[in-house]
Amino acid sequence: MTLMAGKSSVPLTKPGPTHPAAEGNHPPDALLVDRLRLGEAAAGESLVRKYYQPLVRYLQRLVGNEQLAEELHQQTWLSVLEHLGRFDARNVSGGFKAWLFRIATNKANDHWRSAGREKAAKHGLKQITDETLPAADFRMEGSEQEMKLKRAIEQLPEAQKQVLMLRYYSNLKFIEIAEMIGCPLNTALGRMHKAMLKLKELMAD
Amino acid sequence: MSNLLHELENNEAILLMYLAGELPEEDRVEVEQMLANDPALRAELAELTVLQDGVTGIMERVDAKSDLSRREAIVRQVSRALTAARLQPLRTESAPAETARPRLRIAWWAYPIAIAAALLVGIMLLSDNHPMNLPAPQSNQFVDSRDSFQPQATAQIFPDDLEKELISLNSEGTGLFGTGSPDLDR
Repeated sequence: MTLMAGKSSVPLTKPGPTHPAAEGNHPPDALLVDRLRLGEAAAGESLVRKYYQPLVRYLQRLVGNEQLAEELHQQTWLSVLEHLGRFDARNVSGGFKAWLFRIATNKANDHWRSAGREKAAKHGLKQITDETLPAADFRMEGSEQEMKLKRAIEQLPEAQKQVLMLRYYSNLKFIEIAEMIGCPLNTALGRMHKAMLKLKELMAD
Repeated sequence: MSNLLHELENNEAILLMYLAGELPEEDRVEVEQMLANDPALRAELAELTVLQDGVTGIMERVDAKSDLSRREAIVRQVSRALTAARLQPLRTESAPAETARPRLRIAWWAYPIAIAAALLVGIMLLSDNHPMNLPAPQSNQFVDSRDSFQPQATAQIFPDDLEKELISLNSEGTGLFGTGSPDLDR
């Protein structure tokens, strides 16, 4: 009997050339981090380039705003630089990538915490403008599906959204994600499953 | 069975880990045995695979259409920010002299005193009492040796009658220029 073995199935991670591990011929993170520690600007640029796409996409999906995602992306890297002296890959499950995504997640959380009320107000306004501006939807015909995904992701509970996006964009293992967000592995897996079910349902509407 | 599989609470968790290929080899073999013996679990796995593929497909399609044309500009911008942030402490450390240079501080009360002194000097210069009005010493009054200093020099300054009076007072022992003056000895 042929079963879908784990390795041959399609794990929910971002595939193809845009995946950080597959993108370009970058030296290993540990080497780049060491060089950055010594003040080599080129090493910093290599790391930024390597993680640009998954990190910006992840932030975009978390905060739902391209401009804000870019701003948080920059803040994330400045924070990386600020705390680089304290980073020890041996103590972080998932290494530099997990640490980077944790910082990005914290930046997004900080943003929502500081702008909690503002978010609720903006969300309400957005619902109104989305409904009352069909012309805008027409203009964005090319990205209609993106708008739909964006809305579906917005409807996911924050905790589920975080696990789904981390899994997809960071390609971290579930156990690393659980450790990063500080929850048991079973909780992370449960959130992932619920998020997938809900997203599929919302996109099918 | 390893501890990991034992810790997973439900089928979804086990199957997600199995699909992700994150189970240790021993656990993977165990799960495949379970699947072989349980059609319901097999159906659950097939459902989960379809769900996962569906979500992956949606996100892939959306990301493929999404515009990331600003990538290069942003990468450069962030890299510049990193370089600037990296260099900032170095710049401040390398140029401490300029910032640490002590500034000369003048007390507020020094200004009126300086003005008063300038006015006084000005008044003295304009009045008859300034040193230039004193009789100029004659060139032969001073000679090279201090020992040969001549007392006539004083006779040129004071009028004759005043000099005589002074000499007489001194000789009478009033001590006007004599030794023993408490102010001079102090």
